[in-house]
Amino acid sequence: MAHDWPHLREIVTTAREFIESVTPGLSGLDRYHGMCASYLLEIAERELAHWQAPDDVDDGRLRRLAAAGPEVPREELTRRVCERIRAGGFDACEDELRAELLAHVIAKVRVSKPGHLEPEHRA
Amino acid sequence: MSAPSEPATIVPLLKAALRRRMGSAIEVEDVEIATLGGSNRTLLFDCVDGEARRRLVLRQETLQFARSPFLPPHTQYVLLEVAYRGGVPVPEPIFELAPEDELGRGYVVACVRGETLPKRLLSDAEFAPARARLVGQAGHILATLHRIDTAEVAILEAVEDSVDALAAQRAHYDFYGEPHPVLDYALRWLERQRPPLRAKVFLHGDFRIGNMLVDPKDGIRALLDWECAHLGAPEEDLAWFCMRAWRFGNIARPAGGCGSRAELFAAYAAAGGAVVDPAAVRWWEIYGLVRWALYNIMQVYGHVSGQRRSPAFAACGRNTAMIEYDLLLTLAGRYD
Repeated sequence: MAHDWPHLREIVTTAREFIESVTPGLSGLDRYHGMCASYLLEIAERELAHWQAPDDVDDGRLRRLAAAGPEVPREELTRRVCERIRAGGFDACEDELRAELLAHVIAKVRVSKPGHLEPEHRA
Repeated sequence: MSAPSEPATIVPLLKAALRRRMGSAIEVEDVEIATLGGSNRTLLFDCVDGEARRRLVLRQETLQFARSPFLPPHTQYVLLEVAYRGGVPVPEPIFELAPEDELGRGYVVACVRGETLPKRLLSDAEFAPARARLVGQAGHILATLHRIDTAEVAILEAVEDSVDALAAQRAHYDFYGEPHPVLDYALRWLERQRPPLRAKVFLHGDFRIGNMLVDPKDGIRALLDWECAHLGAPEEDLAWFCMRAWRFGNIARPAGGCGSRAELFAAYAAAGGAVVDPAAVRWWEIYGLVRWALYNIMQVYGHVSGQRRSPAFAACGRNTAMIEYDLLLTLAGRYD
């Protein structure tokens, strides 16, 4: 599914950059472990560059909302949904749109901070 | 010019700046960096003149970035002067930095003692007397601010949010370029449900717990952070104060996490504020959720675009989904 910025690879890079910025100020074993953590995250960054997240339920939902066929790449789906909403394509069925969008957002929050969700929306 | 970043560099320049304005005997002592935010630094110090000693605050802009929604320091300083003259509790403005100070853009104000941390204000027993007065004081302060003649803050007329606040948010959203179906839905809802236009007033723009210095007994002592000020409907400031995010867990108390909307509106009216339209307040609360989501997107945009990288700004990006969740449940009438 399409998560918000920062994307997964950017999250890993952010963590690596922070570790690299504090490691020189550490000493002994902490310094060595800081260097190891940077090394591990570099590996993760390289692996993610070649990794494609699988399609899932949310992609199917966005594809329906975008009225997009299988030829439309998943990276385009969110933008197409936005364009349809902005053009008034859902003005006559606002309740249905809101229910679909809630399911989309619940899927995102389950990853970012599941404790924020009401009990019935947790996985 | 960018501001120097190390206290060892700042203090001699600050001393020179003070001596240019207050005399050659001035010394700077007891320096403390209070905050180092994303685009501002707040430095506290004693300005010593012989036997006289006064605690002051240097506020410096540390970063300028593309399509910032924040007012430049010069405008903030002008607003502080107007608010101070108008009886709004703000730190007394002392002077604005000039190019020869070599400290970048910023200003010096008097130091006001008080607590800003929301969790302490809303939970600690010590602040119970302040909490009992806080909503009434908030209504009174907003009425005082909104009464100031807008001719005195004509500097705000050209600010995007003053011209059309909703169009300004749409422009920010389009600039960042990250598509969010929930925000498009909410922006469309707002465009179709706009409340009637009313005379614009001088708004603080970020009036909430966390931007106030609070004394445990006396309550609100000073209103801080004027970088979002603009002209607009009075309900915008009232609604922002009631936003779910600014209740800091005290969900059942919409007004700043310690009172009801009715209490806030009554205090506002008792202090001479205009009659409040509750439907307009709700519209501005929905608008506030969109604006808060866009602030988080602004932070992550700064990070992923490389303008100002930090793990905190990266995290803001993934906080957006939580605000979208609150927004949808508010639009559905489930959240109040």
